[in-house]
Amino acid sequence: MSVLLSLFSKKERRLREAGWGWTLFAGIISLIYFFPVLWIIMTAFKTRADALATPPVFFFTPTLENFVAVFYRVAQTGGGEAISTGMGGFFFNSIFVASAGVFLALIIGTLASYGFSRYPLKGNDTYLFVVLTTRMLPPIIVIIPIFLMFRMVGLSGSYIGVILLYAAFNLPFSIWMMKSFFDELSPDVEDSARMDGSSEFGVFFKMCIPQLKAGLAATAVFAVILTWNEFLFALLLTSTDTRTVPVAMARTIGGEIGVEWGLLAAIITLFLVPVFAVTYLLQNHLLRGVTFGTIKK
Amino acid sequence: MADMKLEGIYKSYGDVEVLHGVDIDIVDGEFVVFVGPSGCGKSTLLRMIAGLEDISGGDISIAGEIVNNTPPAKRGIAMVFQSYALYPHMSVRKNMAFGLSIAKLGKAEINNRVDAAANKLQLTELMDRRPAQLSGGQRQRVAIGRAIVREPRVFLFDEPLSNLDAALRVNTRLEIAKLHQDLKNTVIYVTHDQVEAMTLADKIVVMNDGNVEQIGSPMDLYHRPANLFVAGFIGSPKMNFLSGSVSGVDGDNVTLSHGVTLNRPGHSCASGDAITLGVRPEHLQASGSDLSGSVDVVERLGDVSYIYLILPDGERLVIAEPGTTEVAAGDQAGCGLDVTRVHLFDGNGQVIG
Repeated sequence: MSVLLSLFSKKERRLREAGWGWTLFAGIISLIYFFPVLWIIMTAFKTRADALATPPVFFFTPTLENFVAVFYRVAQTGGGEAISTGMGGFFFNSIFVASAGVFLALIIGTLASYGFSRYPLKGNDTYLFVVLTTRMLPPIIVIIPIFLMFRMVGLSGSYIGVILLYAAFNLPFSIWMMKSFFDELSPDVEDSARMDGSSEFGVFFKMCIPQLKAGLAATAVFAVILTWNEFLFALLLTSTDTRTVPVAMARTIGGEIGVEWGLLAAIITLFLVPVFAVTYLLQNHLLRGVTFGTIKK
Repeated sequence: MADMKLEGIYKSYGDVEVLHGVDIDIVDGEFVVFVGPSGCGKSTLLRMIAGLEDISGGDISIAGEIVNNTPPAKRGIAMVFQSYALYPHMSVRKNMAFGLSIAKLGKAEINNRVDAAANKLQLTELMDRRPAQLSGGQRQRVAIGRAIVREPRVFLFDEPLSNLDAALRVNTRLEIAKLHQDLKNTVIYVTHDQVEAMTLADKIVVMNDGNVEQIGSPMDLYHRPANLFVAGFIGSPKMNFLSGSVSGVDGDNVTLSHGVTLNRPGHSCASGDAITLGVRPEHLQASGSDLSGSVDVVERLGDVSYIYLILPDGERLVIAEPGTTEVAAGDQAGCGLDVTRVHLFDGNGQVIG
């Protein structure tokens, strides 16, 4: 009750540390948002019986059997030895394809946005708009022509094909985001470096890029999240060798014995780890990146 | 020697011409100030001298060598920007050493030069700080230090004081003046503030609308403005202008509709010509009666009082009276004209005589 009272009381609101009431309120809201993720992580540690129990159980004896099952299953024939599910490979594929795609998009995107920002073309805004239109179409519309094109040039099912596609997929967004960061930089600093004898490459690499670490980190995190979760292109353009986790995950749904919720939850839990790690490592930069330029320097 | 010559400098952006043929001669060691209102092309001209803007027409030469296509760093020029333009990700020391390390100077030489400049500018304590950890005045000193270490032939300053507060501005202005006395390099300084121009310059270039209006020493411009623009731009409060016409001509003497007769040898005035009479507020005597009107506002600054008069024909006039005046708003007041300190401009705004 006192929590609610403190919420609605008309006390003077100043910039100060939140009291217990507000902290608890924020905690409850966060829990509501985070609950699905929490539930998935909990399910990953449940036995099949616990996972399917009605009503749902909150307290249970945790097990790692689902995590083992992600990577190994018992052979149906022979001596019942453990055989690999191939999921390790799919995790490698996801990490490799996402990193390479994002890395490529960042390199091309940063160079392009520098050009757009510092050497504007006639009709610069039109070009920028055109760049963005490639992301306005729903993927389902473009997937068939891309599928046919990839098959014609032999990129279907290859790493290079998916990496190129993911790079292209991330480019518009990287260009727009990086351009706004370049626009925030003072051109005087670059001119100053020119006066000091910097070459144009020196200006870009020694002046602009070090100032844009935060922007690069922010762009990288957003691109990684988008790419990491991408499903449709991966479904149609990867082969068994290059399959990514979201596609592999989908295949575990609808097995002969119904949905294996525990297994699915374990895959998702593992799948969250890299993206959590990247975001956590870059979070200081990320905050600076997304608030870049909002305060007068 | 770093004599500099600008000959017929033009600058266009597409179809828009922003500089219309600028000629300026600068002698080695001179402190030259480009002054003019915003948008007059003075900063563009400075950036062309620096090599940061292409030249659409004309030649820039330094010590007899045309540098139109020479890259900025090879011109022997250092520039201090209005925004300081320090490298935000580098310490003060690295900021100052950056240009020298690109020029591939030895480590010892770089350290010597940086330390000497830091000493001169009292930056020694701040060498490991980043620009964000410095105050405005300190940043400005780092920017100047970065220019000094390169030992340039010519210093360019682009409105270096406009981001500083009033007190710091005066201090930094003095420091820049002292620096010039010490180093004796050629300095080109851009400002829109005529006080900076008057106090710092050996030679002032007054610019307006992409043209040079007049070049001369501060006292030249103050006492002998070539046209209405310069007359109005130099001096604070600005010169009073009274429009009128020539009512009679007698040899070298011109009599005006204001009742004043001025001696202007070689004039080409004819009776009835439209003219403008110019007189500085400090050259009007509050005791006379050549012009009179009602007092609109009085500003008392202690050492001087400004009396704002409205003349019977509606024209306004400012009188600067030394000390504290007794005159109050609403009074009738008169003032005397000293004909030796009156300026006469023709219908095109050019000075007569």
